[in-house]
Amino acid sequence: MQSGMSRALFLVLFTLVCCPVRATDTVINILANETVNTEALSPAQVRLIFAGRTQFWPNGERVKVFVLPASNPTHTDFCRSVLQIYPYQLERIWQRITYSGQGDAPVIVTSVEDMVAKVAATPGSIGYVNFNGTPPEGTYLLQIGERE
Amino acid sequence: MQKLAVKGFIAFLGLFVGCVQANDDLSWHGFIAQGITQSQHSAYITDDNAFTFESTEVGINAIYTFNSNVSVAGQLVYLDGGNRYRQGSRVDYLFLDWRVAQYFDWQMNLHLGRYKNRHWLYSATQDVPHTRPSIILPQSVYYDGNRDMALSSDGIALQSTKVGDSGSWEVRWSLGRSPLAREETEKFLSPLAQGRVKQDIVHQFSTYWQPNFSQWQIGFSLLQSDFTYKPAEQDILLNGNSTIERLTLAVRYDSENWEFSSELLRDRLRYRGDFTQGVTLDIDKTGEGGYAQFRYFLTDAITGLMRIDSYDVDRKDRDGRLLDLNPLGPIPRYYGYMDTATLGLSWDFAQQMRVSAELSRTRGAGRLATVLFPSSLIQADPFWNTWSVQFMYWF
Repeated sequence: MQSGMSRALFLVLFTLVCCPVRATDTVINILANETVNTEALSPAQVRLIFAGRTQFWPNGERVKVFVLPASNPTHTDFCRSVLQIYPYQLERIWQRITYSGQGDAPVIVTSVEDMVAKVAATPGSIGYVNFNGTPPEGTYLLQIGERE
Repeated sequence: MQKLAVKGFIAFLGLFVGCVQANDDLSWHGFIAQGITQSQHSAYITDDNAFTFESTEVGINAIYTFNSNVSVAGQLVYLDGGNRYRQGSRVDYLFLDWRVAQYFDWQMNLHLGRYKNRHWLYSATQDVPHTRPSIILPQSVYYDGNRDMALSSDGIALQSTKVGDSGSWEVRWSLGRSPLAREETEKFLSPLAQGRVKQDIVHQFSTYWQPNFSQWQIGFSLLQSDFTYKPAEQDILLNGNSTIERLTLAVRYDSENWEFSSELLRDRLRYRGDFTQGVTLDIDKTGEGGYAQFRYFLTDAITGLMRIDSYDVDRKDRDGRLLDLNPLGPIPRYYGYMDTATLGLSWDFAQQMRVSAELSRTRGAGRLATVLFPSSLIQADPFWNTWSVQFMYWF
């Protein structure tokens, strides 16, 4: 009985620890302003940027982050498949940064089209889009490297 | 010192508000929360079981970025929480943030000034209503009598975040002291003490680890703090020194629809002081406690909360029997422990607006007790309740 309980507990813990956030099949690409001038980022680096930990690019320019509203399916897909976290976790991280004097929250845009326009017009900015193909003028698709 | 800090913050805000039009290096945010609350069979929040609107929290914060290495940040808060803490305004933090190292995989920040305590799971924003999991935080770890002292200190703090193959490491260290108002002396030592408690130093270290792309986060923190008592001319206490040492273990797991968090603590209090009647009080006791909290996201806008919180003032006297033998007079045994069960519900009914409601049932009054004369600060029955409803708006 005791060993059965232990086994069940172990299985629950194993599942919790090893079960990552479910990724989705939706295409999500990182869109950056052409001034960013960085070819690729690791998934951890992307996460640090969108979690507000990395606030300046290596050239000293401020990172400007654009995100879609938390209720937007593309935002949910981005959080799940790229950041590997849930949207509420990202919001919690940003609130912690904003309300403890460590930075500013990302700018929330209304749509993917708005995202593209804002990233194209804002030096040092980064966002995400749900399409492949040629990026609009003034932007490029930033490659995400393999997981460490 | 508090008044000086408030003036300093207003000067900081005034100086930089003028920059709003000039550039976007200044950003500011704030929050307003107003509630109705009641404590029944305890004076924890209200006296005589009365309802009160003394559940007000208003804050404004600003951050100005000079360049990629240096920024300054501050927050001014007004609080009215009934008997829970000192009513009035205070500067929660006002510090210079120097980014000592900033690489993609490693950042280190040095904070100088009134830095914020970031050593516990919720301490970084425990003063901001909508970032807390509940209106009242678990008192075993975040007890209200200690609010200002625990929230921030004047001194120096370092924090580092490193992302490596094994995951994300956060390391924090701080050294400083908090100016204590007269009310904090009453809440810490006793309302019968006429002098002031001065915090000589608070030294803290914490580290948290989150495996790469895992939903677990674990960590621990250490604290040591020394206090000295400065007696008034007419005082029952001639002197006093105390030391608090605290170890806290923390864990959090985030799932798609729920979140679990827990912090366990052990704190040792040593106090020695002489009374005018020739009595010397020598206290050395180790308390233990912690909470387990479960939040369920019923919808995107509605969150439920269940929490068990427990604290024993002396691990060698968990049922408070030794309080009968208190040299300054017997104390009710239930001041030796405090166990609380809480249920809560939050609803984000509009953008940046929330209403939260919660109900707690408590056994004992150990976290309402002061070092001297434990039952003298807040009168409570062996079992008591609190409930609160609070509206929040943030920007």
